[in-house]
Amino acid sequence: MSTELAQALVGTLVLAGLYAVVGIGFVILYKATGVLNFAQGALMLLGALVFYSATQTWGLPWGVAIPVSLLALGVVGALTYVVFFRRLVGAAEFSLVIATLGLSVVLVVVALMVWGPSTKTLPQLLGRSAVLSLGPVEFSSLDLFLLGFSLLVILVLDQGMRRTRIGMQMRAVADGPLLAGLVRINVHRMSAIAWGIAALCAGGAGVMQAMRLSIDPTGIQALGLAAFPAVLLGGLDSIRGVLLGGLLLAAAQNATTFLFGGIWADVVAYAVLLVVLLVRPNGFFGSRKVVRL
Amino acid sequence: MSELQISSLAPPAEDTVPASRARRRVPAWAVWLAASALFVVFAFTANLFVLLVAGTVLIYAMSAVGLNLVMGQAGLLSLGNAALMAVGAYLTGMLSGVPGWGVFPIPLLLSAVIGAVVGLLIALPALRLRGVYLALATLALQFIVAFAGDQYQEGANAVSGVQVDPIRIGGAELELGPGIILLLGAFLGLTIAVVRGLTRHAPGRMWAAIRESELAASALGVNATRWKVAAFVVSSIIITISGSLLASYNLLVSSESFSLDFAISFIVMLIIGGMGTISGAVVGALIVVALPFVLSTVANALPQEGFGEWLGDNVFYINNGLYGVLVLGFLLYRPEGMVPALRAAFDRRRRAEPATVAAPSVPDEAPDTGPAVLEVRDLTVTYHSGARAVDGVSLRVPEASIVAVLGRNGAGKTSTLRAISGFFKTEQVGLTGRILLDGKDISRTSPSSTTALGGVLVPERDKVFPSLTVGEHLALAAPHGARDILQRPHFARLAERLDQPAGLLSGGERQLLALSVAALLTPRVLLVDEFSLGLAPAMTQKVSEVIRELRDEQGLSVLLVEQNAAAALALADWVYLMEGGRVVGQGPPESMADHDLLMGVPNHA
Repeated sequence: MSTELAQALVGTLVLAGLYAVVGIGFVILYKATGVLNFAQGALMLLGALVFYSATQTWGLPWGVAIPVSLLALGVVGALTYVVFFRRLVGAAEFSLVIATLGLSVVLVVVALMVWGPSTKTLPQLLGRSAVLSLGPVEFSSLDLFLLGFSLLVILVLDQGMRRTRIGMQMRAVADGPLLAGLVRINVHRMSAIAWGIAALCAGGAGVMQAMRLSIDPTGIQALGLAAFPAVLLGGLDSIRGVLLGGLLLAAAQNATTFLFGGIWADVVAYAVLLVVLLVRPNGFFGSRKVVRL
Repeated sequence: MSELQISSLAPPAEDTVPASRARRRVPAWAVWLAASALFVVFAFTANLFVLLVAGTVLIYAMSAVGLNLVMGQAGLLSLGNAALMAVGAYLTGMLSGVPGWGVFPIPLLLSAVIGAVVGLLIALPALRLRGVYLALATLALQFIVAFAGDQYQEGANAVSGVQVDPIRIGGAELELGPGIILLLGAFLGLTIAVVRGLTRHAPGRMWAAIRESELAASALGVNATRWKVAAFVVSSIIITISGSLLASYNLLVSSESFSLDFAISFIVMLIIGGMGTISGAVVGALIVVALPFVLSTVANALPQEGFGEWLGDNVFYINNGLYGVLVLGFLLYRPEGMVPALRAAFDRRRRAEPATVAAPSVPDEAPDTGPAVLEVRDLTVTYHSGARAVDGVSLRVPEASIVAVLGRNGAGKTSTLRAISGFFKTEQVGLTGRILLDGKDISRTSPSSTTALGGVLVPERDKVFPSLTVGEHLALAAPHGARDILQRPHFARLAERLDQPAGLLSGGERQLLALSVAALLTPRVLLVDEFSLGLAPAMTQKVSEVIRELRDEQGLSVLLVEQNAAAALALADWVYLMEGGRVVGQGPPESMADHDLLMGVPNHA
């Protein structure tokens, strides 16, 4: 195995982790509230910029800045529900999607007004030289941290949804919002939490991207939208499917980049999306009811 | 009240039918003629700057009218507007370099053909599926076209954009001026005529059916996929042509201008103007194009200090963000859009509509003897269509008793139950009368508030959470543990399946689980909808035993709504009989057993 291929492998794993982090928040929101969120790219940008300010302007150590940024985005997400989407409960899916588009436009403009339109690069927070070798495959401490971070987020959310009372209530709301109200679950609170989790995850992915490369407003939004093919591959409503979807998408993108060059990465993601729609619209783990109604 | 009595309440007067709109219609040709004349006058009198903006408005309006066919008529969300316009624009750019091919109207015709093909390619995978998948497919189209455009510009050595020749008609180049504005106006007029023709005839009816309910439309034999594809393809043709016109008008094609935000701005036009109306699309285009100019002018006019300075510094961003704010604002407060809202306001003033006649409120009656947990007095439920599902129903559920409401399908039983549990608060249903739970009026509370107050419903269908396990159901209902229920004999079957998802349980087991969950919520009154539906007789009996046990041991009051007379008569302490939305008889089960209605012979007048 050549070193280039080995590096592509590591890059694939890290990118898959990033997709999985955005995707898991997306799926939790979709399951609990039925909102197909097109604002995840904007939320990623916001997360990255808050992280930038936390480390560069407020001078927080990055280990502290990460939970601060995640928390801030979680609050933004919950507020989004309270201010906008709570009033749209029961609206057509069509209107909900358009509302997320409007939200995305507003968030991006606010971000550009506060932070400016230029690409920002953080100073190197973690080493990029190899610290762990598995044969020819070498991991830097940054790679290891990003992989660990995404695994942690996924593990906490997956287990949280399975084992905690709030997770159980959220799954109940996803199964039947009407019935959930009848067994005295506070559906509005669960929806606000779902929005918080979705924004927190997108923000986390934004932080990952800021540490990995840079904060390019256009690029980071495109990356957030590119999580759609990953989520669709796994099945729109499957939390564990997101892991596989992220991995497959990252592999397809890195393979094309490896063979034809980096400019193909975005197009491949959307070609994958079209192929999934054509061949297996409910993904690998999604339930059939999502596709047709 | 021990004897069977026939309720003899006279029905209240029917609601007055709103006076039909008496509006004199101006013939369509006169409207078109007047609009054309006004437009010609405008084209020859406006200054160049206004004409420049007007040309953009006309092209965008054409595009928005095309998009409206997909979004407003067929009810599908498309993010492909920018990409489709880019297809037409690039095609026109490529042709303008080729001698003989750039002549008007060849680029437009070719754009139409390519637009149809691209539309078909995108629609086919997406439109077999639920409507929202088109949004994802067109998102893909957006990125793929942007990539292709970038590649083309790089290949053509035109990184900042491809030059396009102006439109030539009869050897004369159409530069900015009345000529091109009139041409663009003609295209918009033609588009509107075509779209109006389509929506007023068979295709429009098909799209409306699909938009209202795809499932119902399919059941009527409408091939939903085919009609959705047709809408998308026609719309793609219009949008691609508008892209071609835009390229010739701007004399330049650049991939940067066909961004995702550009696509979203067309959706914004429809939301602001009013989805589904052609005039809404045109008004929306006008607002979205003109507003930035207005804002910039305002920002320049304000003194350059304080707010004025801030506005001047940020006007670029505000112009970009404004339509995001507008779309959220309209979705939240005027979801129907500007044109329909104005039209409604205009009609209201015109008609001087009489206020809707509220049914006369019923005077309080003297309370009946004995404490009732739940009491319904003179309940009337009128649906939006005017149909009266429940007509002056009164009933009582005394403490620790089981009361059954019997009747055939359509007798108004389920409507009564839904009214009690509060489901009509959110729907367009007229509800009069009083519903008292422990003396408190709950006729205006939502289902979740009704539950909180102690009126717990066990629905007919969807009574458990399919992906939650049996144990999780218990944990949801009783956070501090539900140990004692595990010892109950009736729960034995479920106790063995604590770790199984409820979706795998049989119908009877689901009913038992739903009743257990409801009982754990310590209700004052349990409202059970058709518990025996789909259950085998042995299971019906078992569930009946559980309900009786809950009453005997927890002292619960129960209101059953049943079609299965035998099951209900065996269980209930008191029976109400409903027919045609009214209570036509009541009494203890023994006296009701041989009632004519229960023998299946309708006998009431």
